[in-house]
Amino acid sequence: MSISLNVNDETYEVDLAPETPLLWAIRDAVGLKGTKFGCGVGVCGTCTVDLDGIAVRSCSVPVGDAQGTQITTIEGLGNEEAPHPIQQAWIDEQVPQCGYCQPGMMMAAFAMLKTNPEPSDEDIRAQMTNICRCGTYGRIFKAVRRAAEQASSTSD
Amino acid sequence: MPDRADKSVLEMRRRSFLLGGGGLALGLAAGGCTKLGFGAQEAGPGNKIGAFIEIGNDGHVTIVTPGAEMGQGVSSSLPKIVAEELGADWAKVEVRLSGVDPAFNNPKGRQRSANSDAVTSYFEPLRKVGASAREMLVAAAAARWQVDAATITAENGVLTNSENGQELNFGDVAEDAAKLPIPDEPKLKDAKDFKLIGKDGPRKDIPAKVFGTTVFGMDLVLPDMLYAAVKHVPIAGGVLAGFDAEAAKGMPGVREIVPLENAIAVIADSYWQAQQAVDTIELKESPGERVDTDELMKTFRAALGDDDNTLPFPVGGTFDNLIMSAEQSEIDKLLARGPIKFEQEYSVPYLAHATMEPVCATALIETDRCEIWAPTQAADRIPPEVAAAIGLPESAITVHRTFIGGGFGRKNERDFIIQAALIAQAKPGKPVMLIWSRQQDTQHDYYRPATVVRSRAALKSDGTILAIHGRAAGQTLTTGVAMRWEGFADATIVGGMLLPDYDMGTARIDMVEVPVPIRTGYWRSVSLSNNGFFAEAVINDIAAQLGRDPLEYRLALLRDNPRAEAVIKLAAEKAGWGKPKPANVGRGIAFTHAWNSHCAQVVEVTVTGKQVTVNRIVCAFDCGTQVEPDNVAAQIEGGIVFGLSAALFGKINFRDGAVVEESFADYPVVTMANMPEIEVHTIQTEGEIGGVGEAGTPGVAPALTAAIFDATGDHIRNLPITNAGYEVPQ
Repeated sequence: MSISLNVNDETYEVDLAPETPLLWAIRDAVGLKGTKFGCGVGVCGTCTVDLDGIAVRSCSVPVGDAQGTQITTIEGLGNEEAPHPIQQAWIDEQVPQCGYCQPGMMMAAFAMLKTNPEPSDEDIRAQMTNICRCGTYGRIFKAVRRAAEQASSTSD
Repeated sequence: MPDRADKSVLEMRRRSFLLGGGGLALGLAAGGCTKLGFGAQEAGPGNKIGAFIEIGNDGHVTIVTPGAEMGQGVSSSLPKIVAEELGADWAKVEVRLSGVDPAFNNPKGRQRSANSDAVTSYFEPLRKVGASAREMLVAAAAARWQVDAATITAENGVLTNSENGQELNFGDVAEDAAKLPIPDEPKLKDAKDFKLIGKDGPRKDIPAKVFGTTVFGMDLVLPDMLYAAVKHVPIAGGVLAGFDAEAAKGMPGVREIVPLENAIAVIADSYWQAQQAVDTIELKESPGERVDTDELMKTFRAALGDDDNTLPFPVGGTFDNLIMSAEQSEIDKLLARGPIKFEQEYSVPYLAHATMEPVCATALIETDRCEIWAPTQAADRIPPEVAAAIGLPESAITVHRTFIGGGFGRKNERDFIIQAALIAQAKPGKPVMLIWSRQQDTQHDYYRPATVVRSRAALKSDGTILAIHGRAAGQTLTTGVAMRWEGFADATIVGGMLLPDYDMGTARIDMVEVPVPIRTGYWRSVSLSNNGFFAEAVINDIAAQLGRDPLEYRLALLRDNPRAEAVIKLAAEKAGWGKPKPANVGRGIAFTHAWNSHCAQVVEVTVTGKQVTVNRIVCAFDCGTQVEPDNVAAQIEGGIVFGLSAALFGKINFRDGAVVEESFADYPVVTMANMPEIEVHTIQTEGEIGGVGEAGTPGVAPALTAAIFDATGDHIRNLPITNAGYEVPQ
């Protein structure tokens, strides 16, 4: 079935069964590999993308339901030429170790900071539920705070 | 009898596991391999200066890392050692993962990342690699300028004639340099002249990881690629006894059904289609025993009393001069005499690795060759093992390494890679990417084995340990080389059970082995993952029995051991040991000595009813020379979180032969919700270099249980703590 997807401001026509998880549509049909497969059951968050402004676990969203939405993946957040402040904060704090969870982690931070630009520590703990097995949470805290401060200082 | 390659593995592992790392300098390869890294020079866009370095005519320097990048930073730290001696402009150096070739072996003849020995084993050899290349560039410049090489310095990618200030870039002479003979004994820098080693620089692999462009095992795109999913026979030790795949055959995208010895696979046009199809396949019940972990623990406990079937283990000394365990009869006599007697039992469960990246590998089979792409820690084992599995010569197997989304020992195994090759045989000429579901990854791991330990000691009232006996019961590792010599217990289970750092009088370590069909393997810190707990919980419990402060008691027990004393005191000081605290706050301390590194940790908890909050973990760590100080801290932070997950939650259950847990939903790990503050303070003992990647893990569990005891008076001797009725915010 032909499904129209808007990913990072570009339109893709993908030929997939509508119940195919959005994760695999993004990775295979659209060809963007930054969004990762971690558990397939919505528990770990490595597949997190921004869908119409909300952080969703793309392994648990059927691609048919994503038609007509605007999806942002890590590739759409920023790149080497134009890093997003969250990505810059992640580099400045030297957050990643293996790096596998980090795209999803950054997308979760992106969604949180849009609706909660000055999160408290409790907010960060409650809203950043993605799993990191390398244990980079301490640096994630610092990077989120750094990105939040950056955003609030540039908006002043 | 282990073959020659296995013997070198044995030797290397002996040093780390046998004696808990006591006293042996793991790192500095005396003499080194001066020819390390100088394979045949191939033509390419850049000028190859040996196997590790490529310098373009434009001066662009590429350095390959022989290590497997799984988060521990070898894609930065190892090339940095080369760049230091080479005199390259590190900010502009590009780093790539090396291929798989004996040119990239460490001095023990292995190209694999495990045992926290990347920096320690490659440090001197890679210095020589960089220094040799520098001398070749200098020689080329000397020839160009017709001057003595001694007048030329190399720094930041520039060669300077110190007499007249003339300059050449590395790129200007790289082509000439590549033709020169490789010096045998290049001159190395003085450590005091290091510009890169010991200084923080941003890790080379981080930007790509932040922009989402790093190629992990599943990110490969190859022409005509197909995908496979697998369903293993659920029971440990089971075999495929039959299957019904009728429903799967007709499903969208399905190309092949591939039966294997202990699993069934489906090849399809996409992973998701393959997974949907394999989920419908019904497996006939496999014959064989059905393990149950509750029953196993009872069996292990009963086995502790089996005096007639024990295997002893050395209790100290050096590799060339081992101190053997005392005989059973001697220990029994001493223990009976007391005057104060200590006896406790402890246990740890089976643990999964639970890497974020589920196991995956890609294989392409053609008539006379095979190509493998995989996230692998043990690249050098792949050619011989895949060759044996598919019936091709070793030389026909080409291995491409990808970045690894978490290893911790799981990706040291080759089961999933061999499996990919066997599956791909059903579709010759097409690359087949095998991806395991999270459920399969959780349920068909090489688990860290469960062990029960009984510890008995005879003490004097002043706290002197006159005699001590630690006995383990459980299964041994089923993977790799059995870490044991004839008549000795398995080092991967008992290594580190008693720390030679302490004065413990007459000592005995032994084990009763119980055969169990569960697949077990190396899990971050290996024998220290269980013995870090057993060894230090015993010290904490003896201190408690004697009414002694566990910090003061440890310091009193230490033999003349400045590095151990320094980290223990530093951790305690930074943690505010002894300072007043609320009644429901507890502090515990533990010490680790392994991989030639010393680590002490203080864990602080608040316990309210049955709710445990880990407030803070303060760590003092000494690995001697640090290549990248910030990364050392990051590795210790990460190792601590890894150990904390296990201590709080980690438990794999087998019921009726199969693993119960399926994903992070029922095998929880530390998250932001329960992440403590972690402080790492480092000491850099001069002239030493030790391992980092695993060192943070062993001390967490004993320090945690001691902290809970401090707050509540409750002893937890069976991990995880959530099994003892405690709850942790999630």
